[in-house]
Amino acid sequence: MNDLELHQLVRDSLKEFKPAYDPRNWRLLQSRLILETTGFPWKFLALMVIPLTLAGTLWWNYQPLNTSDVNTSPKISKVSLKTAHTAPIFTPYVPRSLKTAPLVDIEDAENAKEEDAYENQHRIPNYELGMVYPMGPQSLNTPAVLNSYKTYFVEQKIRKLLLDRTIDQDSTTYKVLERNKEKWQSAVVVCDWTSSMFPYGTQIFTWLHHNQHNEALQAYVFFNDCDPAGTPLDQSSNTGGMFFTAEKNPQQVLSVMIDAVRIGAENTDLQENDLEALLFAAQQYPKADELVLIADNVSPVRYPQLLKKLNKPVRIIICGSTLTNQAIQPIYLELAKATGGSIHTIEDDLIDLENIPEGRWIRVGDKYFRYKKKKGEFVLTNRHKRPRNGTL
Amino acid sequence: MSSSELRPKSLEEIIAGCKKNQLKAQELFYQHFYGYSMSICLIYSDSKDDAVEIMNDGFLKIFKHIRNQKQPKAIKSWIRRIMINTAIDHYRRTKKHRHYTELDHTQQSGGEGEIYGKLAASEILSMVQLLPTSYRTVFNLYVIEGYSHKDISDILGISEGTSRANLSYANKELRKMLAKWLNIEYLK
Repeated sequence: MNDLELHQLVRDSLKEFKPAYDPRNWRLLQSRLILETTGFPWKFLALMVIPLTLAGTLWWNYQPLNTSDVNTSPKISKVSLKTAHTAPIFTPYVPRSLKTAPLVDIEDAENAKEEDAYENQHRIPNYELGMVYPMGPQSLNTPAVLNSYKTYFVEQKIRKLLLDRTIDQDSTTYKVLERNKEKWQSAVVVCDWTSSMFPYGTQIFTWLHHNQHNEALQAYVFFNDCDPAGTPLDQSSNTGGMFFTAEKNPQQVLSVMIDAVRIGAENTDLQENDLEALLFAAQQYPKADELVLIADNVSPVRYPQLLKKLNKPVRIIICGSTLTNQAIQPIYLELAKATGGSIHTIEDDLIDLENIPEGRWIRVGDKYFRYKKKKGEFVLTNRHKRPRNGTL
Repeated sequence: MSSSELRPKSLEEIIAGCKKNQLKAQELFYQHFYGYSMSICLIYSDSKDDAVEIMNDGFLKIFKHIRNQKQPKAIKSWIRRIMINTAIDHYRRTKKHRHYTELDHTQQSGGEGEIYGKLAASEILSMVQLLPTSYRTVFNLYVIEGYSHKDISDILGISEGTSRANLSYANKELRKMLAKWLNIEYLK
């Protein structure tokens, strides 16, 4: 095919191309339009309000201390220990579909209906998918996968990321694997392979490239929990969305990772099936001594009750924590403790979880935390660097 | 306000409403030219989000200057011009943050001529979007808009030689991606 033919092909293909109307994009423009067309001096107002707010905040924070207050005893309010202990550390995001309270006004409801109708209209039909790869390799060739622009695009991006052996600024996975490669024996890596975890999962491939002859890692399981159309596979006993290989050759591992990307590119489900994947790995590789979970600290874990069924030590690599102020999700701590496993972050390995010393520093993502025995948890500090004696 | 509340109007009425800054008319206008504008913006950007940003910037310019538009019949070509110029502005704005990245190399396969005909617009579009921005911009201006290399060099502020080289690289990369696509097709 010469240049002219190629150009003609592109012109012909795009001639009749017209994407369908998406009302969400109008809403994005609408607010800007109102600002532009009302003629109200919003910019001037913003310029006035910002310095005033800043000045007010500074005055509020740094006003001189009233000495008459010093001698009065501080007010202590009664707090129920039970309530304080069980108060959530952060409020997890709940998708709109899960919220039951009708706290929307009529116009919002109209908009939501319109959006849902649009999404339903454009949803790729659900195809019956072989639950466990490679039971259904033909599932990779369903129209839902082959005709999805998003899938193709995401696949290309990830393929490039993998082949370039790019390591993100947050190199947690690579560093933990490198640090523990002599300590771990016959381990199976179980990797959360959903979109937000791609930068962490790709580091496995880079590590494998540099450590092909290392015996620490015996097999790899990549998990996501949806079918090609992005519909969550919801099953507590019958595990789905698992892609696995015991190959040492990076190219073989690469092809499994790419297949998993192609199936999971449409995944938008927030809860992840970590425990189902661990159970699957333990069942698939019964000779493995331990399981290494590459976990998303931001996403909640589905079906925590499955934890009791695990009987191999789980080494948990904590990724993606920079989005929250929580060092480690309680479920991961519980999982590591219950199985006799350990917790690993970019610079730290917590092996003895029952006896974490007071003031122990850990770095998660780009934040530093210290252990408070009284609270039984790691507390965020305002440091951007580990202190000199911060190895404790 | 949902689109169902909007009563159908002729294009002239909608344009007249836009000239008076009526929000309903602006929404109808946006809805009417959405597909057309989006198809232009998508081929100049590397993601849907970027395309939406460019398109909305373009529509802002359109609504700002629509009162000066005297010929309703020429509105479509005027919109096209604005969208392309906005995309070029976007290219210039982000120019210093870009660097060339080599694309994934795949093996060529033979006998592909007839199978190319099966490619859907969305597939061609995703391949064009995967091109590095500078290649893609030159490719689009040359192939889709029909500009000469001299015009492109003036528009983008590059030399004619660079424009030719970028087009040649874009052709090469697109051929590679088409060959890769054929491998996927053969899996069926």
